[in-house]
Parts: sequence; C-alpha cells; structure tokens
Amino acid sequence: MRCRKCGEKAVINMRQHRLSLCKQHYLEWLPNHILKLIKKYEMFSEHDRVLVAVSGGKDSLALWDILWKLGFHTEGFYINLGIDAEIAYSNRSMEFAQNFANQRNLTLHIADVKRDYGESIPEISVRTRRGRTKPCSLCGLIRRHMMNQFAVNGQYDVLVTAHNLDDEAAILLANTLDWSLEFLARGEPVLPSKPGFIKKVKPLCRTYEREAAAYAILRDIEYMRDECPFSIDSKQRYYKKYLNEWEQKRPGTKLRFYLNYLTAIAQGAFPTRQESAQQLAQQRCPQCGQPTNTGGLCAFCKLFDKK
Amino acid sequence: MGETNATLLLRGKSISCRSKIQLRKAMKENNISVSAHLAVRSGELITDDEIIKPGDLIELISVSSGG
Repeated sequence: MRCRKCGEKAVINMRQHRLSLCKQHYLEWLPNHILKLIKKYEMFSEHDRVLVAVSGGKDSLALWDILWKLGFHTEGFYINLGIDAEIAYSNRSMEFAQNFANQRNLTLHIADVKRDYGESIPEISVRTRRGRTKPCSLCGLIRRHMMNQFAVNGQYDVLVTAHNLDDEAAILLANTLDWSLEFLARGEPVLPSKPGFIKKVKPLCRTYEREAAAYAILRDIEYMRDECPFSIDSKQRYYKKYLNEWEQKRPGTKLRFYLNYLTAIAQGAFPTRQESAQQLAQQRCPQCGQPTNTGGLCAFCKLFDKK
Repeated sequence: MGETNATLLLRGKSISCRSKIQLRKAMKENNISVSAHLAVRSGELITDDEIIKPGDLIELISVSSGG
C-alpha cells in the first residue's frame, strides 16, 4: 500500500477516510486534523491555559504531544490511583507520564488518591458496593471529581481529556442500549463551563484508537501498554469488541455512528445542554464545595463518609 | 516452526502463522481483530495488506483500552 500524498510505502491505512499515508505525512496529517477540530468545535485558543488529563497511556500522551507541537499552553495532570498489584500499573503509568513531560520540559501535576484521601482505588473498591460491582464507574467518578477540582482551583480555561472515537462510540452504544437520555446529552466534543465546572473538551473524539496508537509509536512515545487489571472485563471493552467487528465489515461504522449522533443532538433529539445543566449544579456539596444534585454530600464525598 | 512459517507476537505470546499471505488473512485465521491491532515488523509499522515473508517476526500491538 502506498502513501496517497507521496507514493512512498504507507504505514497506516485509514479505511474510513480511504486514506493511506507514510510516516512523514501521517505525522503531519493527524496534528492538522486535530487542529481543525479544535477550531471547528471552538475548544480553546492559543491564549488559553489548557490542562491535559494524562494517564500515561497512548491517547493522552499522543494528544499532549500534538498540542505541545501545535504550540498550545499546556500543563498535564496525572492521578495516581494506587492500582498496583502485580504489574505496578499506576506507578509505571506515572513514570511514563513523568518521563514524557521531562523530555519536553512540560509541567506535570501529580495527585495521589491514597495520599490525598487515605485509600487507593482498590481499597475503596473493596469497601463500597459501587466499587465491588462497577470498579470502572467508581474510578471514573473519582477521576472526574479530582480533575474538575484541580482545574477549577488552578483557574485553567479548559480541561482536555483524551477520549478517542472508540471510547465515544462505545459509551454511545451503551447509553443507547440503556436509553440513558441524560447521559446521551453529554457526549458532545465540548461540555461548556458552568458554575463549579470547568469547560471540558475532547480533541480526539473523531480519532480512532489505532490512529492515536500509531501516532505514539511513530513519534517514539513510550506509553503504558498494559491494561488496567480492573478494566479487563469492563462493559466498555465488551462494546468495543463488537464495534471493531462491525468496523471490520463496514469501515467507517464507528465514525458514522458518532457523527450522526452529533447531528441528532444538533436537531434536538436529546435534552439540551441547558436543560441538563439546570438539573445539575443546583446545590453545592457542604464538604468539597463542588456542584451536586444529591441534596447533601456529593457522590465523591459520600465515598469517604464513613459515619 | 517450519521455515515457511512466520511468527505473530501478541502480548508476549508467539503464534505461528503461514507466510506468503497477507497479514490481514493471517490475523483473521488466528481470530485477531485487524481493527484493534497495529503491526510492527523490524521496528516499522506495516499495513495489513503486507505479504508475510517466511521467518518474519511481526509484533501485534493491541490498541484497545478502556474501563
């Protein structure tokens, strides 16, 4: 297979775009593609302070590298979840993130769940019903809370997460099967800021997982390749497996699914962001001060409330 | 392994496969998703239409993550 731009040997074939590219042209194409989306969805500008949520995996490090190359003012934020077991998952992930930042002279802020709240994710998982039944949901709740709090306190303009197209399509499929209208309203590339909540954006929302991985490999970015031991049987992986099968038979399935969903949102198929926002953020958690609609402690603070 | 065979390396496991066929066919024969993996031969990313040569060692990198 040959690069469509120069005729050299291709390193990647993106069947959904009917586009194969060599190393040089792929490393030019992806950052340009991301930059166009940042502008199209008005995610942020060169004047903004951008906080990048970094996990040490391929997506977040590839994205941070792209934003750095494009000249945006970025800082990274890593949360050590204390998931270690046999493969030292969290500590090794942190090392990849830290090495990446050091090599580029970038600032990486590190939070630690156990240090800051007294228990690691595995310890909280054992103690709580939510953790025993849905450890990934628990982890997501904790990460969202800590990222938002750090970004708000640090007065950043925007929080960037590295959700890729496969993530978005899997979440969309899960929420569609459950007809979770409230969650279906939150899948857009940009979640605007509102009182107590930082603006959140997903520049990789139209980038396939394999494209982010290819970029990381071609840029010689060392990233955490082992999977989180808690995610092996996760629902998201289950849906991704089927989406990949459909993608194999019908290239572009995942992209069409997501883009048509964005069209449906624009046509008013789901509750608007304003309606969703009104449901949320009615009150503040008396402990951490973050918005909540529980009428008392927020879901995060409830995890640590042992009264 | 016969000299007409090649090896796919996936998550530290070696899988013997036929050579002189396209990589995507070898992956399909071994129930490995093309959409969920990238292939590296001799340190270079390759596309799934590449013909596998006898004795090739091809590392397959899973790109699927999530939780």
